[in-house]
Amino acid sequence: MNLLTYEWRKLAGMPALWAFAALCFLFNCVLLYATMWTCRSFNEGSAIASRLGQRVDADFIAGFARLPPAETPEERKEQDKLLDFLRQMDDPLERYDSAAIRQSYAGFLGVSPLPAALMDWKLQHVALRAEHFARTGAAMDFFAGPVTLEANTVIYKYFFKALLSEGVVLGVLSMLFLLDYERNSRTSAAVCASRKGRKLWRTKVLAGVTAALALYLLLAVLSFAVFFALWDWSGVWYASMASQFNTGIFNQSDLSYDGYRPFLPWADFTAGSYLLAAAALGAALTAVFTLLTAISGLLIGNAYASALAMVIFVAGNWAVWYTSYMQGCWAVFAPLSFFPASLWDQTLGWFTDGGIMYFIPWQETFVTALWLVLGGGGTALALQRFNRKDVRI
Amino acid sequence: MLSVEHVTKKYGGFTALEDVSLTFTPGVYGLLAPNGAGKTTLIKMLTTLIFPTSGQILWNGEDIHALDETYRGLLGYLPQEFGYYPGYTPRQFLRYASALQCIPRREAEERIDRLLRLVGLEDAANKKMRQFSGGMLQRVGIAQAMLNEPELLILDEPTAGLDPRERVRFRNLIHSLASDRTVILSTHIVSDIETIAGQIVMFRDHRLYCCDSPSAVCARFQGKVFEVPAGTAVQPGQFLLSERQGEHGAVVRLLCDAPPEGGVPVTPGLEDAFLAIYREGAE
Amino acid sequence: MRLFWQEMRKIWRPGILAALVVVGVLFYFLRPKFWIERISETQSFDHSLMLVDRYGPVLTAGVRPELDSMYDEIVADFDRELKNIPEAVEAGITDLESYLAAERDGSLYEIDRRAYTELWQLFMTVNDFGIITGRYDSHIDGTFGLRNSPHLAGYTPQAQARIIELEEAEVRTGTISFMDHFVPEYTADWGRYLTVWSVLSVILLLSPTLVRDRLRRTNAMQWTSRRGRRVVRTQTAAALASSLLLAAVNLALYFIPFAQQGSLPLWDCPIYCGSGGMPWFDWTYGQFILMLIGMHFLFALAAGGLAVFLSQFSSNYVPMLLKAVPLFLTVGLAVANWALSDPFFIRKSHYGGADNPKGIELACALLLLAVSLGSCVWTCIRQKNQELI
Repeated sequence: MNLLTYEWRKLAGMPALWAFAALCFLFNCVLLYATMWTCRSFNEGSAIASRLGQRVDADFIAGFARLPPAETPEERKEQDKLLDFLRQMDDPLERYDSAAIRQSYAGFLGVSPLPAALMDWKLQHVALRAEHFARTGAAMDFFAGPVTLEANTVIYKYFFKALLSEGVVLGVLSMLFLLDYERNSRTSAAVCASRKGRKLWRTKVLAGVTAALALYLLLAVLSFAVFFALWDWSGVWYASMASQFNTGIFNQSDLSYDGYRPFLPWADFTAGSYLLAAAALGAALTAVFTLLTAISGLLIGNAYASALAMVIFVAGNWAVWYTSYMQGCWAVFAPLSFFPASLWDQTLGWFTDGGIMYFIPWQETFVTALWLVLGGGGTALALQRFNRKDVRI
Repeated sequence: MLSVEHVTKKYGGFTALEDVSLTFTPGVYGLLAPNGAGKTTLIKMLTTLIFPTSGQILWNGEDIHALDETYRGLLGYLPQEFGYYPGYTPRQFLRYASALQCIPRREAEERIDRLLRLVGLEDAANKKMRQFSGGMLQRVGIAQAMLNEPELLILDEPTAGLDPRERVRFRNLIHSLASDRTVILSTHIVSDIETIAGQIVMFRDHRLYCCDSPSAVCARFQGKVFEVPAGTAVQPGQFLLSERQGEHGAVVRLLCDAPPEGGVPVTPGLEDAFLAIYREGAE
Repeated sequence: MRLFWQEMRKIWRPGILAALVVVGVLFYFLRPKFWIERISETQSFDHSLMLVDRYGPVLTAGVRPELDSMYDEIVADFDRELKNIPEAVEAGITDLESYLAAERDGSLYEIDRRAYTELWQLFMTVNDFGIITGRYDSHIDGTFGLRNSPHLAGYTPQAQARIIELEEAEVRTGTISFMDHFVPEYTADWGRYLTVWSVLSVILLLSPTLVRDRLRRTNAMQWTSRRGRRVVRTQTAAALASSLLLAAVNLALYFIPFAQQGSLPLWDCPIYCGSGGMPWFDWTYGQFILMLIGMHFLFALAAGGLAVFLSQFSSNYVPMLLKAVPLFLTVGLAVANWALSDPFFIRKSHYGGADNPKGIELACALLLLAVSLGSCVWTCIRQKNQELI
């Protein structure tokens, strides 16, 4: 067995890890159960889309009108209301006014020239995306009907954020466990004096990152298995995320603009591809936090102190970012939005313009890639330093 | 007086110690056996850290578990792996230990000063223990074991990791302490107990093998230990005990009933007896 | 006692305390600060303070007429202040009536943003006072209230009885609290965040308690000492005492900004304010604050006991943290957060009916504490027969 497998075995031999993972899965199931109300409505919408297709055109409207009436009077009333809406539905992106949005943000960010300039540059690209979606008619997709916004909020703001948080916590603690293992079992001296020596800690870092990704993947697969057992996505896989039923999905406390806020992703994401992309980004973010933990663990050398350091890093990011937002201190807010903890907080709105929370196109992707590089580089430097540090027995 | 009466300790299907009966009176006892023979198991039972599967351990006729803190109040114990708080100084650590021993503060301070002098750490009393060498840590361990002026002092592998000077120092210390208390010393370093133990307790196959004076243990092999030049073939019925550098080259010590050719009879030492008793295939 | 202080010393390690200070400050800025500051920004807060100072905690029928003349004075002040805003005068807004007319026809929103903000703040002074008198008038004439509304049927019979009792008492006595219902609501938020922080800080402080001795291998020395295995009782007592002490420190620190908001003069005001929340108990604002503080200590103590209980099952810090995280999420973010969201007020479930029977919050806290203390007792009993292998 190679050394990497030995490190995985050390981790796998920790019962608390599996107990925690099981609790996470249980929590995710409870979360899904708590959203059954939304799930039912979503499934109804998905069934309609399965039958009639996604694009709301004359055929769709005719088909919708021919659907059997709902069971209860309240539901029939909602059905009629929706039919009326569908009949009058047009493409709001054809009249998307980027000038109003840009003016609003310019006023909001006016005191900070660089953030304002970046935001304006981003909004120009948003306008191009709006034009593109107007040409493709993506806003005319039904998705799952009126419940779409609520459903995607449930999925990305609550369910997916919980999954990501669990993956990050598992990743962080797995890394700390591996880094501290030899000290706890009093084998540091023997290990460091072996041929492999301190290089074993490179293997530990690799094992920690891969284990973090594996645990995230395991939780994701199990949780989404339950999710898809409850939520019928058969009709919505190929629905465009730019559907007008998906409007205004941004951070609800972003008060920078009151007007019409379409969901405009930077690529032509369907519901399915968006979910996969978010899951992939979540995995990358898990790796980022695991690498940052590796730096902390290698430099500090004590698992508990390293864990506290990570708490301070994340809490510090959030606190300063949030406070600067509330105070309108954009010169501080803007750079902090490029930190991974800010990204972790904004699972709703990934791959879109993100309102006030993002300053460049594809910011979440750029930030994740940046911090993967920084985390990797920082870990390499920390390992170098570790190689020259005295072994404390 | 400490009595061990028909004590057995089992862990599931594994028997760590079987039907051991011993009596300890004031003096120094050496528990001598290879690793895994059951020394530490016995010590942990004597120190109430684990409980016998059967049998009982009595102090002056009363069960040590029933005596509870009365027994532990007269017990001093230095574990095989002495645990400590690296951020504490010896003085702080001994204050903590004295609180554990319910020693009044004023008295504790006097004892701590005395013990630090005794173990030679008065100059390092206020240095953090993370800066200490292994020998210094061991001395702190001995000091904490002596804190409540125990009638029964149990030391598990106390000289492991000590340099020769410290080991001699330790032996002298034990000598001075043993006059009016029972000292049980567990070790597999023969030379440590050869000079100070009045009685040797040996285990074999998880049972008590003997409890005798060192001279009596060695006497069992009187006339059976010979030295021959190294390289001499070991014949059937002979057992190789050890090798050493003699005045005229390397020599080996053999255990055999009949003198070997060219063999010089030697007085068997405790190490010879240890190796002879625990040789492989011995009955 | 000496051992107790020694164990306290082992718990209160400078490194962890420093980290708690940093995390505590960050946490404060992240959430509580915003909500604490809102207490004094609630509608009619300043007027409430003035009125309580002048007339006492409740508005009575005898005092009501005097408020009309006070209102007139406030309106007169408003009219006078308008003259100092040139943009308002230009737009023809010269008194309250013209202001309200401009608001109705939308012309108010066309004036300069800075002037509008100034105008709005001035108007709030008038509006906030009007809320107090409006609330009194609409409640005391007996027509306003849930008891007259079909929505009452959505509450449990117990809650309905309580709502009727509260509203009929208003009509019968002719009194309402001068305090706005947002004050106890945001005060409860203060209590909630304080409790969540106390739970987190207690767990971070105490989780290493028993792990440390296992890692440092000092159990042998402890168990073979005169104290023996009973040392765990002292350690548990020190941990519980530390929970209370840390909770007290957190309370002292959180009380400073809370007191600075200036809501303490409303101490004797009934927490039933005639609109907004329907309290289960006839408490004053002061009693409500004391109850929040009590709940805070209950949760902190429960968290401390459970943290120590769980730490005995961990051989090093990472497994301990894997237990500490769910412990904080359960006790802090789930139970305490739920219990202190509008605590002791009737809360209507999304699915119909009241979802919190009378006193359920306290019952939850006490149950959690009982489980925690029971776990600690079990820990001490368990230690008696444990072997140190």
